[in-house]
Amino acid sequence: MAKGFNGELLHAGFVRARVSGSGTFRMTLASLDDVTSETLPTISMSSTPGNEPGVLGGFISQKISLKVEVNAIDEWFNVSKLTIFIRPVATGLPQ
Amino acid sequence: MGTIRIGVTPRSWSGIEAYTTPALGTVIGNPSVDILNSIINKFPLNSGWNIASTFLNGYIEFIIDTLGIYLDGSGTPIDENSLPTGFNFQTLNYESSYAVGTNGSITLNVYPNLGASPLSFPTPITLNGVFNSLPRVVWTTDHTGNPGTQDQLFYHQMTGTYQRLSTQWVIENLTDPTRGYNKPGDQMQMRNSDNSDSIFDEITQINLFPNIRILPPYITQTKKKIIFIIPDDVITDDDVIITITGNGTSFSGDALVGSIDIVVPNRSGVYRIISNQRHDSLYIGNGTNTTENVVIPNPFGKTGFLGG
Repeated sequence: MAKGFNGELLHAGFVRARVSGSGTFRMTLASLDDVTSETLPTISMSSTPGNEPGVLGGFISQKISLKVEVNAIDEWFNVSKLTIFIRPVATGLPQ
Repeated sequence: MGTIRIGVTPRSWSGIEAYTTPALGTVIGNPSVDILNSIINKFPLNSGWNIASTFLNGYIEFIIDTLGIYLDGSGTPIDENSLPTGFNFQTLNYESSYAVGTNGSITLNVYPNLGASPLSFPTPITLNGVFNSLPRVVWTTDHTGNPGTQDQLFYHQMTGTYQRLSTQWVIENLTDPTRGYNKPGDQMQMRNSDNSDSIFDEITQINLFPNIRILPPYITQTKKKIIFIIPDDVITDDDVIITITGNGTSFSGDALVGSIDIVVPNRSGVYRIISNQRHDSLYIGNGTNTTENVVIPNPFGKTGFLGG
């Protein structure tokens, strides 16, 4: 069987980020076409965080993307690593 | 919006005509006097030396009783007593010379005014500000030759300069005199600080730096004032330099007037990237020339799709 997408439903349960910056770091998990999404808990940033914080999630979709952003004036971020913990929870999505 | 000083550098006459009294001068002596083209009722003096020749015993006296002055670009002479407001005589030079033939001698005197002592001669004689004093020129000759023989040649010419005096100008906002700044669409008025006659009727173009030209007709244009509208296509809110272009009567070319502040509301701007600045600065579109810092619309990053 070829590796790659086979239609599985995935569950994203945890995201860990190496992020520095200023303000509030916001993360959103989203499905294909952003039809469904889940806003993750925010991370309060500093220029020298000293750790790699993680947040819990509970998003299930066939394909999942992660959007990171800030939305207030003068906020900024610098992401050097993102780790997303997923596992398959179903083999397909029959209609 | 402040007081503006305009100065126009001295210019040369573009032409001078002198009028003599009497028409042919006063001739005493040999009635067979022959006066050539130069000494006539009206003679142009700006074009160089003019020549007269005589063969007589006696003298010729003529009085310069008025001058016609052609200002720059003008085809109509103006009497020296009718110069536009603000003009000032600088110099008027009368020069004369002569050549004596084999049959006579000559003396020549130039008097600054009637009854005065003659000025030194033959050096160029400057008659500053004596136009109303009837300067007098007397040529005295002693003819000893045969009738019809030319003995004396006289040369004379007149040159001069004039100056447009400096003037205190005021430029003010008529639309809202209390606002404290100007913006496109405002009516602006230029006038003399003492509301006296000036040269505003001679302005053919108002120039706003760098390339805005406001052409007639203006809302009002008289000797005393000119009213114009700041055009909508002014693109700067810095001090806008104003120059004016004359029609050649008082001045030609451009003359610097000064500068005014112009605020342009709702203008399109130039985006400048500033290191480590994480917001945009927008001009507030109410013409107050102030800015507001706003967020850059949600900078973000997005991963590829997980799951292959």
